[in-house]
Amino acid sequence: MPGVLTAIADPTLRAAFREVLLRVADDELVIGHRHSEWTGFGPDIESDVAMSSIAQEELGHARVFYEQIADDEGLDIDRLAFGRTPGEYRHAALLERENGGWEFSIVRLVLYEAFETGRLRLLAASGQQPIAGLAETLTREERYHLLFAETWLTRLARGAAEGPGRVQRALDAAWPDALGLFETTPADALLVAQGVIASTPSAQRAAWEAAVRPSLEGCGLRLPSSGPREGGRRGVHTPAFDGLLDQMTEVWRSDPEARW
Amino acid sequence: MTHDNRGHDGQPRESGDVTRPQPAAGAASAETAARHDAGGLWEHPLGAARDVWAVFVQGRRRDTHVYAGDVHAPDAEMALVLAKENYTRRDPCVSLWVVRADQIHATAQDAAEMFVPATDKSYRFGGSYRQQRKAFQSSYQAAYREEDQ
Repeated sequence: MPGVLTAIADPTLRAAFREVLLRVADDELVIGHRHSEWTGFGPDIESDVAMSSIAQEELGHARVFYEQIADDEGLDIDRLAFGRTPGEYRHAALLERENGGWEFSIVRLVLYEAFETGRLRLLAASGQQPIAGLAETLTREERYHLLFAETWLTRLARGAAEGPGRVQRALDAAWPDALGLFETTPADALLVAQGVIASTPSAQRAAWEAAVRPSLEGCGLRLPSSGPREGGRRGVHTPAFDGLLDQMTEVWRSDPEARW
Repeated sequence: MTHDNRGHDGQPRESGDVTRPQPAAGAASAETAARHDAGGLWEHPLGAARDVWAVFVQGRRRDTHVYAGDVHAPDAEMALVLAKENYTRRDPCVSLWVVRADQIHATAQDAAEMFVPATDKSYRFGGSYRQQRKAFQSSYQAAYREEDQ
């Protein structure tokens, strides 16, 4: 089967769709790396194993999307994933923030997975094969990620001691970055106009808010009123990403031509 | 599970909490206390901690749920969420059960001789039943493979 990108004849539309694929892959790679930092440090051994497993799955999803780009353009997938300058990555800032406490990682997971579920649904309906079929399949795993995150969120936020305050502070900190997931570039308007993506970014954001609101308010949290903090979708990242990229690419950089 | 008790991939080693025949410490209620008969202690509650859940995995829809190990969790929902990643990563699974391990009673190791027949009861052993079940299962699986997938 020809790759998803080569099948798009119009070069402007192809570039726009590539940008969306790269966002997905970069989001998944970066959050997968952050989750993997919990391996050996989780609050209990069971959640440690579960979070590590989620990390593996996010990396697996990143791989699926990098492959689509790499295959079409004859690129080496590891070079695409690890060999770019910071400004060439297109993930949102939410995903590169340091874990801090478990509650932040859980809040981030809730906010991100709700977003990712909506995005995969749009890609599944995009008509662009094989991405549409792949997106449909990946949704299965994201469902468990969200279940894990919401199960933890509820218990932390309804706790008797310092839990509610800590979760609220984590939510306040994550919220502007979460809204930054919906940052737009000209690619978004083009994909909507051409009927590839069926929902405008503002409609996507409204749907996401409607999805997370019941989970958050249901366990006594207040939705922050702060606005979005943007930049990631244009390659502008926070200092936290420098350290992450450095560590994440350390093995690959030691010998980029190595074969496993 | 504890770190000490962790095998590969978080799977507990053979002597997990639930398999250790420890009577409940301290004041056990009449309902859960160890029971003696003429031969001595013959059954007792496992005496597991309140947050230990026994996990049962069903591999295919026509299999029984089989005990796989334990998780620590404050409630059943969290126990199921954690059991999913800790006990279904290696083999197929279609359904999980969790049950509080402190609800499990066990026969004592000392009472093992009550399972040993005093006269020849080989006519009961039913090896042929097991063979039949095996043959039945493999033909059933062949017939329903698609449905089970």
